Amino acid sequence: MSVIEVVWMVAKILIVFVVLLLAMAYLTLVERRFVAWFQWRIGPNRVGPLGLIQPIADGVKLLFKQELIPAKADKFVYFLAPAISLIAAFAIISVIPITEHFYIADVNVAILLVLAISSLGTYGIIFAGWSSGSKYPLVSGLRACAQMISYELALGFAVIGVVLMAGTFSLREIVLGQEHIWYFIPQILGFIVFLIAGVAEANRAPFDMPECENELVAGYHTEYSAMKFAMFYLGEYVAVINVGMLATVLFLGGWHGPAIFGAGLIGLSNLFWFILKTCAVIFFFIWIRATLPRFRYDQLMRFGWMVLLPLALLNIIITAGIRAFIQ
Amino acid sequence: MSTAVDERLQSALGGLAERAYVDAAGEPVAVVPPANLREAVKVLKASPDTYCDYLSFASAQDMIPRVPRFDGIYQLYSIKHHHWFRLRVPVSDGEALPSLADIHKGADWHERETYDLFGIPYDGHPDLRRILLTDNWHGHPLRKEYDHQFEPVWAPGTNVLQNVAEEGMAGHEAAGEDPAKTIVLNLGPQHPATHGVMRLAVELDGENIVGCVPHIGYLHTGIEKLSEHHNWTQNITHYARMDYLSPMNNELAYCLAVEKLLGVEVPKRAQYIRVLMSELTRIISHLVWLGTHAMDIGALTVFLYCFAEREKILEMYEAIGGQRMMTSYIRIGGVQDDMPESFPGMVEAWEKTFDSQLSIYHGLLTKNPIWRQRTMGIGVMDRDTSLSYGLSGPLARAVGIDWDLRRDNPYSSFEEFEFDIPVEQTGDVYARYLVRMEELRQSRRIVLQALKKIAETEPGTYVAEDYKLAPVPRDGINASIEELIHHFKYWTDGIWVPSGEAYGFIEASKGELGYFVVSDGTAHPQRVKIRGPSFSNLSAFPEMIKGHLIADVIATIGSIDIVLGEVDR
Repeated sequence: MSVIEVVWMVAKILIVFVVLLLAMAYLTLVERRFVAWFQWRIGPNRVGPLGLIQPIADGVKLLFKQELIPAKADKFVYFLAPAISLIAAFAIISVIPITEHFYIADVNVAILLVLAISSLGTYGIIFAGWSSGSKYPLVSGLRACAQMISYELALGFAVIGVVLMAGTFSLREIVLGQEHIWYFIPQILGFIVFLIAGVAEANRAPFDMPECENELVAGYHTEYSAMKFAMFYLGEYVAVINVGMLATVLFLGGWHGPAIFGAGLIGLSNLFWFILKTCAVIFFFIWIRATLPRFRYDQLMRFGWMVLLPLALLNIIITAGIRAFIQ
Repeated sequence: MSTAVDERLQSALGGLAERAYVDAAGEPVAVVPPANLREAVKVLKASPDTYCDYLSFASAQDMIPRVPRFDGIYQLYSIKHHHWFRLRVPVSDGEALPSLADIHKGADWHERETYDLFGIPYDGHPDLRRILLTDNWHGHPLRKEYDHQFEPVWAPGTNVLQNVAEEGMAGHEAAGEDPAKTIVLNLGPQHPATHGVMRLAVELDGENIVGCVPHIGYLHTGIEKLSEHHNWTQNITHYARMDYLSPMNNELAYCLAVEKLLGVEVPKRAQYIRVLMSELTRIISHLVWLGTHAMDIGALTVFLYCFAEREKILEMYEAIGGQRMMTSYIRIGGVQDDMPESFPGMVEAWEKTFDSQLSIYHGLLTKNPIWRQRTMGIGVMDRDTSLSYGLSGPLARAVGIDWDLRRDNPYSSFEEFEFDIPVEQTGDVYARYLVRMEELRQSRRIVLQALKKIAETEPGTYVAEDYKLAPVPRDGINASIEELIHHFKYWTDGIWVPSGEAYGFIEASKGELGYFVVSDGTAHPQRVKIRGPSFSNLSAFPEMIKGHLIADVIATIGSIDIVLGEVDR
């Protein structure tokens, strides 16, 4: 590996990291504005033109807030939890191909890596719940634990359909395989299961059990303040972006534009399509958050095990059957 | 009617009552010695003539310097015959009254309240603790001689905050073998879903609820005590602050009670304006209920839609009475001021869009599978338990009790209006939701009828033409010496109400809201007992959530539609 390659790699990591961080910050603003419009409100528009400086103001505020640590907290785990949450969320981006040539790493078991790392993120929530030394976070940690196990399974099985179609675990090659037909058409069942499980994976309404403001006050981060709270917050929004990007890569054809537009300008239009699709998925997340009530914890579990998992399994059987038949 | 009821009372009670009489509103009252109380209540409940299956409230009155000092007061009602009975039970200081908690479960909290505020103990009560005040409180505030300025409110050396942590299940923990198996979680006093400051000590096994003890009183403002210190008119201002989501309903019930004592005829126009405002009030109260209930279950958007809609009615409030929440608009003998000419236009503009608004709410919730999963089969009450706890309003109608005071004991000319009363049978959170949603539509119907009826009456007749009750108009003061005297007396003394007792009740948005007022012939009430529907409704809460999950606690609280200002008073 030459020096230039190393520099380019570091540069790519930096670019992706900074862009993701900014995207996350502005996602909070976008979400607030969109939800406000759904609810006939205006939303934050005071700080800067159109409220564009709001995320920065929020960040500065959180940075300078006083840190409060509960006396009964298990200090080491308490500090570890937000870090795990954040690092796990950011690590996933490393294997996601943004365009054909722009990605940090093309791993031949990328999907497995993604699933593994996103499971790690759950530990952040569980640790936070256990270590806070408080009852609401404890209940929340237990909920998160159960929810993650059941939805991770459905998520994983939903992806297997895609893997069967593409015949590879590498995300880049999966996108390359979608040049003619995006996988959400043959894999519509898998796509639906993936989206629903993705919402649950990102802990968002209507699956925001672990947080569940109206029941558990603030769930696992009840006892967190200032920057440690912000880290959970960051992790959560990055997870939303991750699910959006994964849905794009796995089901929506990644950087490929719709066939009617032709190939177009190779580099930039690829980036454009990737971002557009990711935003569309994220918008869908915001939309259902503004529309649906929250599940109850046991109903959520039942839904995961009794509906999503069988559907995902059915999808695998059908896909595998068709593959076998064609070959 | 009153004489017939009186005879029935006499024949049912027989020798159990010392004597019986009829109060200012023509309702029968029987004086029963403590030893006969339980028997009398049982007889009244069982006898087919009286059939008093519903205990509205149990309270007391300090009759000092009379001996025996207190009167226990029990207000009974028959859901079948729609008539009221009151029992007065003389009891001396320190002597105990027999508890009715096993006959009417709702008596549990009412007796605790009476014990708390009067210091009357109850024999055979399952859990006689203070309820509105904290356990460390000194004295009993509703006793006439109580004066906090001469007595320390807290016992010396009390750690006030410790109370919250230690009260917990208050000795109600499940008697399981393994105490480590459950944890006690305090939901509240500051919790996003308790709708104010209430604390639920919930004993959890995992997320399953083993036991629940509600602790209330955090918003206790001593309104009943204050009422004894302010004059009859001034009191109206307290009551808007009680159930702050439906201020005009509170005022209306109180004014009806005082008007019964005064025997005053309220002009038709004022009655219709009262109907109009009380139905608009029901709508804003239900809108806040729907919004917060939906928000608790996670549908945040409905909350904001409802508040946007409520805003339109608050603007009408502002147009008619000058205030958005603490209105003091409904006054003794009528209302504060005539309806402005622009008002019907405002109402019509609002009602045109209200139906489409309702269909938006329905579209977001009624058929939504998540909403149905969250509400169906949750917090179920059956008819008998519900009656026994004294549940009223939408909660009662959700278990199939077809009872609405507007129809069954009409006040303020409600008998002239046409409306349907929705009744559901299942008694779960979803049934309560459906009942209230339908009531929103029915209220809109009544509002439109009221507008028509108001238009037929003569403008300016908004209050009884009796300057002992209502302020003299400005030009009248300059015209005659007599009216100047009236003006002076009204604003210095207030109204003098002839001695007697009366119970004023309305079908408020949350249930039966009643004011039991006693006058000793002066400018101040001797006793005002407020029967807030939320208080009784909340007392059934532990029963409702038995065997449910934490998430159901939230859904069930939302469905009861409590306002802590009214629970704690």
